[in-house]
Amino acid sequence: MNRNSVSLSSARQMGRLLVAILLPTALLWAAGEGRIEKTFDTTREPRISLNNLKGNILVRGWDKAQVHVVYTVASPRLEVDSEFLPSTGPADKVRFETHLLDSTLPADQQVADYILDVPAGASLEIRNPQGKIRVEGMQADASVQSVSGDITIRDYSGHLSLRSVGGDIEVIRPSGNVEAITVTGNLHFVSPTTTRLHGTTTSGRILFEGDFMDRGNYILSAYSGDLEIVCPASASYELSAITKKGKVINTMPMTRRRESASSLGTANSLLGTHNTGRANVELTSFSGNIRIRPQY
Amino acid sequence: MEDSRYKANAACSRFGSELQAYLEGEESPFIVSHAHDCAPCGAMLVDLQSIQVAAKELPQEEPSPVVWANLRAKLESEGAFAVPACAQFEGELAAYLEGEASPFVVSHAHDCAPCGAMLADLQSIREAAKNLPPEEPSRVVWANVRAKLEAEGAFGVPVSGWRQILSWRLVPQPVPLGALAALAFLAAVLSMPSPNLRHWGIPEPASASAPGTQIASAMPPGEDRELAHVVSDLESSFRANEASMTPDLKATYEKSLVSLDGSISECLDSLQHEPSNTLAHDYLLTAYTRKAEVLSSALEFEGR
Repeated sequence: MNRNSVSLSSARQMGRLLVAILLPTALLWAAGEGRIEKTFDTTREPRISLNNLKGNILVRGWDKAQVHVVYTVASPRLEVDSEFLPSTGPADKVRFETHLLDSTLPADQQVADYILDVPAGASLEIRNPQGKIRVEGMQADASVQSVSGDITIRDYSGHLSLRSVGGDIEVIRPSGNVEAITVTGNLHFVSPTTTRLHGTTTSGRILFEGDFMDRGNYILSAYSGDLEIVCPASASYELSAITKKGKVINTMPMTRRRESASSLGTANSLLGTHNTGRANVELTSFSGNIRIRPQY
Repeated sequence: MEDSRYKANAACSRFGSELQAYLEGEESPFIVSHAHDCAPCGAMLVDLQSIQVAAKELPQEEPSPVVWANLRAKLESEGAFAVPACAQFEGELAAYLEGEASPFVVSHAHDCAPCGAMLADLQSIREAAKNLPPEEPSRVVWANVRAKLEAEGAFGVPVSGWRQILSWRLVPQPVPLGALAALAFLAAVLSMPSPNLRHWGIPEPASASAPGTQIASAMPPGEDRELAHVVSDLESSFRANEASMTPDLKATYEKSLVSLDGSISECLDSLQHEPSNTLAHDYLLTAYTRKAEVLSSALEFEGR
C-alpha cells in the first residue's frame, strides 16, 4: 500500500465520518427547521449563562424551578452547546453557547434565536453581539452585553450590569441597582424604583422618566448627547447638573445652591434642591444639553 | 581508685545510652571499644546482637485479625480515622458560599461551634457586602487591566467544549501574575491626579500610517500618556485584524471609535485651554477607558 492509497483511504474515512456527524444534524435541522425545545429541572436560583453570536434573545422569569428553552438556529452549520451542572439532580449552573461548525458560514446565517423561561431567582450572564436582548421579570443579578443590539429589561429587581457598544438600552421598572453603559446608543430609564442608578453614553441621549427614591443616588452622564429628566413635581432631590458646552434647562422649582469657585472652567451648571432633597441626582454632559422638566 | 570506678561507671552509662543507636546501624567507635574493654557490656552487646540476628531469621508473623480489629476500633474511638470534618467543612465552604448546595456544610456548622461561628461570620460579611454601594475601581485601572489581559490573549475568541480543552492543552496561555501586579501598580500611579495637567502639550502629529479615526497619537503628557499608549496598542491590534470582522459588527465598532475619538480630541483641546478643567479631564479618562473596552470587545469578536 503506497502513500497515496493511504491518504485516499484516510480521506474517505474522514469523509464518512463527517457525513456521519453532519447528516443527522442536517436532517434534524431540516425536520424541525433548526428549532429545539428543552425543559429541565433546576434549583430556584441557578446561574445561567448564554453566549450567542447573533440573534434575538428573550428571557422571562417564572415561578417554576425549571428552565424551558426554545432555540432556533438558522443553519445546520451552527450548533448550540448546552451544559447543566451538576449532571444529576436539579441544575445549579446552566450554560448555552452558540458556535460555528463551519467558519465559512455567511454572517447572515450565523443566527440563533433563543426564548428562555427561567426561575425568577436565576442570575443571568448574557452575551449577544448582534440582535435584541429582552429580559423580563427577574429578581437576581444580571450581566448583559451586546455590541450592536438593543437591550430591554423589564421589571427586574436584581443588580443589573448592562453594556452595549452601539445598541440602545431601555430599563423599565427596575428596582435593583442599575449600571448601564453604551457608546453610541441611547439610554432610557422608565419608572425606576432603584436607589442606585448609573448611566453613561458617549454620543447617545439619556431619558429618565420617573421619580427618585429617598436616599437614592442617580448618576447620568453623556458626552455629546442630551440628557432629559422627566419627573413628578413631588420628586425630592438634590441636583447637580453640569455641561461644559451645552445648556442646562430646568423647569422645576429649585432652591439654588451657591456654586463653588469652579474647577469646571466655563461649564454651565445648576446646583440646587427640589423639595426636600431626599435623593441625589448628578447629571453631566460635555457638549449636550440637560433638561429637567415635570411629568404631566 | 574512686576516680577510676567513677570513670568506668560513666563509660558504661554512655554505652547504655548509645547502644540502641548502634544496634540500629549507626557508627559508634566508642561502643566497639567499650565492649572490648568492659566484659559485662561486651557480653550484653554480644547477647543483643545474637538476638537481633535470630530475630531477623524468624518468619514474618501477621498479627491476628482480632488484634488489628481491636487496634482499629480503639484508634477510631479516639478519632484517628474519623473524616476530618472541619477540614472537609473548609474544603466545601467556598463552593457553599458561592451557592452550591452542601448539606454537609449546613449540618457541620450546626454541630461544630467554631465552624458554625465562622460560617455565620462569613455569611454576615457577605450580606453586609451586598448592601455596600458598588465601588467602581478607577477607570484607568480597568482600562489597563483589560488592555493587559487583552495583550496576553486572555480575551481570545471564545471556544467551547473540546476545542477549549485542546487549545488549553496545546497552547496554554497563563496570564502572568507579575505582569498584572505591575499593571495594577501602573494603574494606581495613573489614577493619581496628574501634576502635568497645567502643561498639556500640543498634540503630536499623527503617524502617516494611522487610520483616519486613530488619534491615540494626540496624547496627553505625563502619566496619562501611558493610558493613551495602552489604547494605542489596542487600536493597532484591532486595525491589524479588522478585516476578519463581519461588516455589520465592524461598522458598529467604527462608529463608536469615531465617537470616542471625537470626545478625546475635544477634551484634549479643552484641557489645552483650561488645564485645570476637571470635567474635561474626567471625560478624557472616561473616553480612553471606554475606547479600551470597545477595542477589547472588538478584538474578542474578530474572526467570528
